[in-house]
Amino acid sequence: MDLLAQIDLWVLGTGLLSIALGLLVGLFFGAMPGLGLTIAITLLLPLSYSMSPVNAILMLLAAYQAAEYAGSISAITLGIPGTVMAAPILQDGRPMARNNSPGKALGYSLYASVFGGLVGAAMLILFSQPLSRFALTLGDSEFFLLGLLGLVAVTSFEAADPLKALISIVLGLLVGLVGLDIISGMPRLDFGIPQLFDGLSLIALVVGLFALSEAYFMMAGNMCAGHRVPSENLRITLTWREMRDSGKAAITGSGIGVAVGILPGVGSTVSGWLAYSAARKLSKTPELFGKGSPDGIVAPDAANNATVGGALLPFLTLGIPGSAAIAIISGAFIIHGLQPGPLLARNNPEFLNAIFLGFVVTTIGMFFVARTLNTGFVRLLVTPNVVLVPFVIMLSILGIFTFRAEFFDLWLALGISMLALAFRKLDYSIVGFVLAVVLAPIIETSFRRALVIADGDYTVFIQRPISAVLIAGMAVLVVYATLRTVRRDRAMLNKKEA
Amino acid sequence: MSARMVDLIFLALLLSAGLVTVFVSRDLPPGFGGDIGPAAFPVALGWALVGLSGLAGLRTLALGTSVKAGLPGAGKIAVTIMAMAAFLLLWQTFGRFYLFGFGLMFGLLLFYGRDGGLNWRFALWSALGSAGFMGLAWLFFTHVLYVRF
Amino acid sequence: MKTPLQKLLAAAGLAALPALAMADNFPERPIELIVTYEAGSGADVMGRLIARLMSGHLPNGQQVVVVNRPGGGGTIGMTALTRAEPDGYTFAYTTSSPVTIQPHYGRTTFSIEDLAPIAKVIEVPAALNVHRDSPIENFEQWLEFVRANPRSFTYATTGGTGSGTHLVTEELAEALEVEIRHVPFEGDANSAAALSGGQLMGTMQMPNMHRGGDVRPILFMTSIKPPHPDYADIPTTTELGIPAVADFFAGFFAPAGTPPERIAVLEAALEAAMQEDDIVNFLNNAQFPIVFAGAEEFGEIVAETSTLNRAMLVRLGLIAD
Repeated sequence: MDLLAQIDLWVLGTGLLSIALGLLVGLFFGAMPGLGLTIAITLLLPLSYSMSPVNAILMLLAAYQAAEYAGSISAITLGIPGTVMAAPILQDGRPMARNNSPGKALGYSLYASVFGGLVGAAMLILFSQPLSRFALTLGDSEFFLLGLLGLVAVTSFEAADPLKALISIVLGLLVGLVGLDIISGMPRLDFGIPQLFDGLSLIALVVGLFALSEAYFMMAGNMCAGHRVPSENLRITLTWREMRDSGKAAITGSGIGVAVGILPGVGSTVSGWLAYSAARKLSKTPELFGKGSPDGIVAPDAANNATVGGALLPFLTLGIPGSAAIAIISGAFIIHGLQPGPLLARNNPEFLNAIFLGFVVTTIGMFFVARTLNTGFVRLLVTPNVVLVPFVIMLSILGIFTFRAEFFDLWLALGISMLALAFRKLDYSIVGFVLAVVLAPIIETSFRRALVIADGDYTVFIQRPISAVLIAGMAVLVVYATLRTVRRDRAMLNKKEA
Repeated sequence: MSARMVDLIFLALLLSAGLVTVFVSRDLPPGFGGDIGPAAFPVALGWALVGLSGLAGLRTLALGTSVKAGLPGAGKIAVTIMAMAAFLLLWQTFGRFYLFGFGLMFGLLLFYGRDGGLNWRFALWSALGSAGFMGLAWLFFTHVLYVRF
Repeated sequence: MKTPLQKLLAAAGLAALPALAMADNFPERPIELIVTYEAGSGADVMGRLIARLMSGHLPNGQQVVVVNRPGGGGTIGMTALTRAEPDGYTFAYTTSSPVTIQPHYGRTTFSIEDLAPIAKVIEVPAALNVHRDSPIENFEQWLEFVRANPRSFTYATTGGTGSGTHLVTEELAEALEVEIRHVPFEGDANSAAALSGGQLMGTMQMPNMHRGGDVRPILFMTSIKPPHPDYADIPTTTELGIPAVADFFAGFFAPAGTPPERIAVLEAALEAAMQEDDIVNFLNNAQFPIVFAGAEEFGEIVAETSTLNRAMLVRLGLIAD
């Protein structure tokens, strides 16, 4: 009964309260486009000064976990990805909510997020040491190949038009290169515009590409017509069968999420897209993707939340933050006199155990809080477009401007929204474009840096065993994609001649 | 304009974007110490864009195109884009975000509302709704986030 | 940009109106603090902490309201500062790079002439490091190694080519006449991970031995060191007399032309805030030594650092003379 004796009601009560506060703030800020986790944390940090270290950290982790999920709520209900990470959820979350069942779409998203969060927590508790040590052995040559693999995966599955998908990717890579080149210290492709010095604002890009262009598509037909949805379709519950059927996608997504979280320098923006590609690759029904496939919601959502546990892993064991959000939370550790790193487990084991336990509680708590709130959110989907469109537009403007108060970003988003219109109309691949934008810096920097470290020796990419495996995998995908393109074009030619 | 023409025009834009990329990257310095230099990727990708969009153009000419013609709601989309641009210009020049923001929301609501036949009740609710939303935004951004628009 | 003559006239104008200056009741409304980095970043956390505490030390108890203007490597916020009214109601918190490096590239509309330094509040220590288990035990052994093996020692910097950490390490290599190879990284975490994973032989950053990490210093490039006992025996370039000394400061600036007595008010409030327990504890936990330099001293530091950086940028061929 030792464990029970240790539980102090006061500690437990304040702990739960801090988690609840973190969850609510995280949900709200995550769902609002442009606000996101960083602003939630700047609001919560001053509060945390007066709290006990465990409560302070749990509150921030709860906000991180909830914000990582909440972006999907606005993606599904409004078509605005609340966070950059939530953009992949749009692909299937929107169609499912519109055409089938809004409740199911939100349900898949929530169940998957909780599942991903729990997998992340389990990895954190069980394997933190070996996993973070392994992650460190990966170097720039592997990062480069992993990034390339991510791109190749998109081209090979993009069914509509592989040639245009390739064009979208090349354009995305170019857009991703805009701004300061870290290796030479030179700004590139920025046309002397100071707002482009650090690259395009990702918020403006994602909002223009997805939210505004979705608003344009919502203008078709009579905008005053309400959406009639049977009330049982508004319930946010999944059956056992539905959960079991999407189990594979959930596991794939969580695995990718944890892995991306652990790798330092690979942003969490990538994990959702990679999970989406992988789930589509592994699915028995890839043709349903983009039309409301449950797996297309489950995989990226599980990945996003598994990233949280993944990113914490190298941070708590080695003191190296696995994501930008964790780097922000590390500020709270320092404020409370805790030194994240190998010494933490040695000097404050009880603190670490409390964090582990609290992390699991946070994830489960998120399920109940979000499910309650979602019964309100789901109503947005039966609102007629006439009201929804102006609301989406104004929310997008507020979000973009709040991020860094630049008019340039707003004009950029407006321009991008027109590009998105052309992309969607002419069968280009928005998914390929966005994935290329976020992968471009990783691909280019690690390729060049690997060469700098090797002093110009190209064999660096094949010498290491992990690199060799990655190259083989990529070759298979490229051959597969080429064969399919040729077959498709030949079929089209035959049809024309016939 | 035929769908095929639209396709070709967009491809021509992409092709020129590739050429511009190559052109603006010409002044970047060469790399040293094993580095391939900052220009290598932009130039290679720029030429790739030129080549691929050229290829796609030829394919469109040879195969015809699968692009669907027409864009549902094109008129409403064009008006919305222009309204947003006008709003941004006004805000940028005169400030007063909340006033112009109310104007944009209310205007769009009335404009879209024509689909269902406008009436006074709808107009009144639109005005109240836009004002309420902008008021909430003002409270939240000014007093919670300290962001002044 | 103001010419020296204009500045002289402005100063004379102010001197001619002592009565008005005496009656100044600054500040009469909330003051805006521009933080030139993203909300939630390390600099933002610190800036907000100081802003909150300095409010208590301002006359009339006025609030300091933080506005984040990130981008352009910190220069977008500084540009906004130089365009603000120089009345003391707008000031900025930033680090050394946007002030002493970026303007040399000629891409900014401001130079240090357009800024009025208020106070330096932090200096981030940085050292040349090797892996904890590296056979190189100290600076002498390192020097022996790099002399015997030119171009084989690889070191990471946390800000890439042309950043402050890169420039000072090149100054070191030049002073010692050795050849080492620079590998640009982004951020402390990535360079520390690359060192731990054995991708590199060294880094130029804040060491992390005090929290059990692998980044072990052999030579501090800043005149200050983290207070932790692990670092007590590590020499600094200042002690060894090597002309490669960095000052990675964070501090406050007002637009040039801000009345000196208003700058003095802000400086006094900052100095008092920096002695509050919250800040002292924070700096202690982060292993940043406590430094404070007022307007005059800070101005000299900024001017000197800027001149040295410019010379190094020219020698590295990153800018034309």
